[in-house]
Amino acid sequence: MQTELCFPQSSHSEWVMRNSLYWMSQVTEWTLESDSDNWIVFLSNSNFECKAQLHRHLNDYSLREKIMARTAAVRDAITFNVLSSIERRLDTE
Amino acid sequence: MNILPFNFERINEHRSFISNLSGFHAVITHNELNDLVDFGTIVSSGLKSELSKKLFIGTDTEMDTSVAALAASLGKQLVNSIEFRPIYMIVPTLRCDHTCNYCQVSRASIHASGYDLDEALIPKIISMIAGSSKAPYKIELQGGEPLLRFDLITEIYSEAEKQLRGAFQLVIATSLSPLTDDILLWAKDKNVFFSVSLDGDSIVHNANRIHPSRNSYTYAVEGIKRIQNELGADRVSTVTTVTDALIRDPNSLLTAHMEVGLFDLFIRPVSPYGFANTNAQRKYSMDDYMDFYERLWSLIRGLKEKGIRFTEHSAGIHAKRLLKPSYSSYADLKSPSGVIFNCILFNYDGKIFGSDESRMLQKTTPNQDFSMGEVGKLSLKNSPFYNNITAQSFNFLHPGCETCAFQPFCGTDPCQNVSLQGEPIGDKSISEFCAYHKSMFRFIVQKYFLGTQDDKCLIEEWVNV
Repeated sequence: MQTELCFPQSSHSEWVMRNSLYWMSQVTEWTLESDSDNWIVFLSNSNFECKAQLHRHLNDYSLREKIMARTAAVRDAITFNVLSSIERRLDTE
Repeated sequence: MNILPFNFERINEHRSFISNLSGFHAVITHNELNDLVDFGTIVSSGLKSELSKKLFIGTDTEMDTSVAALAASLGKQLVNSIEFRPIYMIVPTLRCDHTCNYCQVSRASIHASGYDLDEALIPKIISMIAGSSKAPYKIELQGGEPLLRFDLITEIYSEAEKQLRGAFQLVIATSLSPLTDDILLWAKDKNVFFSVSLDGDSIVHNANRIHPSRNSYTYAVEGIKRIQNELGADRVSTVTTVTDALIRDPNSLLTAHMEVGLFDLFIRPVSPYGFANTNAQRKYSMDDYMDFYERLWSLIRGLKEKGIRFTEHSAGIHAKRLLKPSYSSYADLKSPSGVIFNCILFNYDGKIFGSDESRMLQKTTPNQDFSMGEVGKLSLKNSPFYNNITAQSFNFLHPGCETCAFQPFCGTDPCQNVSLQGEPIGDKSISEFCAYHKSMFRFIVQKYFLGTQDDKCLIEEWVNV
């Protein structure tokens, strides 16, 4: 039996929803829809473990989203430095 | 305090493994992880110092230096990864005297014609090897069963001696069923090694390795003993494919190896693609595999207490990737992928492939060209396949990998993804490659950081062999 789950968009971004659902393909088929305020997830597998797994992913990806938000500028700086570093190595070889 | 970019994976109920772009890593509690991300605080001064040294956190004044250090380290890793250090594989024949249930390459019948390498190509192949990288060279003969064309093997060796001036090693991947006294005599004073399939005791081994005699196991163990006696103990090693029969009985693998006095194992699951699985010989899941591996680990630990020391090199490689930053020579655990960079394969029909897996793809998908040309006519730059899979095999850009804490140590197998999912990046959530390597990294982290002192010691031994 299909399960419908509803999550407020104010709690989870699309990035968090889609990354969390990405790993659910191991255990269930899923679809993601939305209305004006909510993400609506349909899971073909209705058991509790499946829902619990989705909640664990949502929790972890929310944390990852925070890390990314707090380190976005540093990531850009690292990327720039890596490209410069490789260019220097290639120039000297 | 600022946090620097990092990823995390839950290891158990209480702890997470964190890693950054440099490959620095640590195991912290979930509470410490939450405090770090939510509040930018670390209570323990010891952990604070560790995370600072490993570039997970930094003060405002340290940020420029930390960014430069992370960038230099990542740049160095990328440059190391694209260094061209291939194993050269040659397939003297696709014919084989076995009909193994999980054969990966669609072997040809022992009596078939048109499946042997043209002898005239050998000087050209060795010339290409000599011209494409530096000594020492490693040449591996694959099959089919290479020993069925011993004449071609001697020709390959002679030509390599001439053109590579002795700076090479020849490894013959074989079941040993065609081993003769003449082969042993020839190999005695040469830099020749044998890599033999050994899947367990006679019941386990013979269950899937099918020889007309119905006793492939005897050929393997008797052959190993003859090589050890005639050539020396270091001239022969084994590789093990974990079958359903072995999953049920990991002890049979250790028994078989002890019978021949070999204490080095290299084990891997049945390949999920190529021609393997066509007879549904693999029914186990990756969870079953890891359960098997846990039991094997316990058996190895038990034997170590009795003074019998086994090394399992597959876990050893995963541990080296985690614990030795400079180790990057295993093709599966490279980003970009080790295709081409780690392997050049000369097939029996003269075609050249960037990996053993790409020749499997060629057999399973004959209407598409997965080769990079033929002997004497290499066309790598013009190959859309190799250009595409190389460009798309940087795992830190892959969905599913970009947020994985094992990404800096892991790799990618674009051929497996093409084979199973039709495109080189693949959906990691259903990827066997991802499930296997992630499970192995998780296993190593659990044993090394959260296991007993004996667990940690065994991992360290395997890393330092």
